[in-house]
Amino acid sequence: MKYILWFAAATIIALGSATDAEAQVAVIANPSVTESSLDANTLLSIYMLNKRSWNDGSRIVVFDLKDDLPSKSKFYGYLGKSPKAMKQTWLRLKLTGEAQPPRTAGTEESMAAMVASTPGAIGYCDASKAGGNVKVLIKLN
Amino acid sequence: MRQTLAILALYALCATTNSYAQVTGEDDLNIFGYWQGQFLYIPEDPRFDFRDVVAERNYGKIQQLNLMFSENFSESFGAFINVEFLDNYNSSEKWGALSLEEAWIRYRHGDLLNVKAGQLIPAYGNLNEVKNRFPYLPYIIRPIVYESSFYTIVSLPDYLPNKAFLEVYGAKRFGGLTLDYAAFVGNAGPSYTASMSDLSWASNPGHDTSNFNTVGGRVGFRYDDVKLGSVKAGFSMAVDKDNWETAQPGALTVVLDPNTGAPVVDPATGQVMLAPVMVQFGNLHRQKMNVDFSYRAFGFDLTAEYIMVQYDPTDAQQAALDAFDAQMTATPAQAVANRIVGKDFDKTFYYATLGYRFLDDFYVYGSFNHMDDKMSHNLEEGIDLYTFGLNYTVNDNIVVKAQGAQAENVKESFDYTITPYALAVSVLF
Repeated sequence: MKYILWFAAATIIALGSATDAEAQVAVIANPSVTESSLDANTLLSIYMLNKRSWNDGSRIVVFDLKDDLPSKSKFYGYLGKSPKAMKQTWLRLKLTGEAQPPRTAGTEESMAAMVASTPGAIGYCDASKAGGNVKVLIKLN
Repeated sequence: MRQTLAILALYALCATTNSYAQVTGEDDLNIFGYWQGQFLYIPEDPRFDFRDVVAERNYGKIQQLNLMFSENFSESFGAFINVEFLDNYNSSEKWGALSLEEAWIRYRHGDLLNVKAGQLIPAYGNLNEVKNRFPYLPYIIRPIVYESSFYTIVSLPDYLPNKAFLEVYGAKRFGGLTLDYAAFVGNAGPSYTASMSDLSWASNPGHDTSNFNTVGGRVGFRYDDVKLGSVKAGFSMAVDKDNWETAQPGALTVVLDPNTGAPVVDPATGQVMLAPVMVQFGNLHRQKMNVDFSYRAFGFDLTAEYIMVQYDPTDAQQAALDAFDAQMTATPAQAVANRIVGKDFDKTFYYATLGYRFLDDFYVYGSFNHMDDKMSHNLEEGIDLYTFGLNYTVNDNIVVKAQGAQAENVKESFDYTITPYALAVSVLF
């Protein structure tokens, strides 16, 4: 009986991990954005606030997620940066008057809503929360 | 009619402002700032025996407090103000300093062209623009020529362009590669703004009365790659003049009795009488050059800069320096009480800092600095500074810092070492 309980617990943990691993993060943009996809380095430049305009010349508005959401670490892992390193980059820009850090969304749902309602916006969230009002540029597994 | 059109144009600008404002959230007046408080301990050092000062010191102070205001009026126009209080600023006690560090307006015409006008800190090397942004910097004691508390030892504006009033800058991206440039023009250095012999009648506090401007710029690149990390490098240059228009003491010599050759003693004080040997070079043209490099990847970052200040003396100026040096050589060593001016004009500074971020909130670093000033007799072989430090990021607003350093004057005849230890808290608000 004890072994069966251990097996059941291990199976539940393994299934949970598999669900986490399979959770996709979507890089989303406002439908006004003309780009239909982005490469990783361009996305990095956008989040470092280095690239500030879309190819059609319109302004990029960057959104970020609150610290403790799982999509955040996955997203910055894809960019090869830690959230702390990214904050340091934004801090330099803020303290030199060059730019304000991205606005932060408190939940994945509010991220999708903010991107959907802001022309030129880009953000990221759990793919299942993206909804139909945004354009998905990249899906991260 | 013209007035009506102007009002309509202004209204149109404001309307654009509002729509942009609602989108980006950068519309509001952003008021923020930071301060850094430090505790410094300098243990007694037996080699630190000149000027009869007590070497052991420990004190706490608010090293710096900055208030900043920024606002974007529209997608094209923005403004920024930076007010700085140094060293427990208190006007009634005459402590510290209060300065308007920056006040500028920016016009942005895409990534490729930006124009800033007002009072600004120009793009030069790696650290010049952020040298006093303590929440961003890991240091308590900064690299020598960026450390304002060393101003009594090192003339910092001799190595860096301090301020500019106009800067044009921009960047062009090619995939992960970004090429950037900046060109600026600014007032003459601080030594000119206070006194200028030929325009002293026009001199007012804070007004630049010189008839030339500092001109400079930076060209560089950065490459950001999600796998390889970020590399950034650049070359900067600034051209200006060093103010030696008025005669200054190049040395203090002991007054000798012409008959006996013995030192003359002042009967009033009982001290040996000293006489200055004056030197005067006039305007010295110079070029400040800077090569900067930084690389960040896998939690590590390496930052380095090399600054070279090259003077371009005329034949007459070189002859004046050579004549002074010949006079010093001919003077008996025991008669030279204090030589101030060195044997050449040029200056050098370089540093390299290697850091590593671990456990996300900790950052450890080690750094080596060297600066020399051939124009200063005591600094002609330079100062070496070794330093190491640890930072702990408590949250987005608070960083606790610890740093130890050893500064050593390389010159054998002026050898001294100082080993300060510092604790600090940097608070962003």
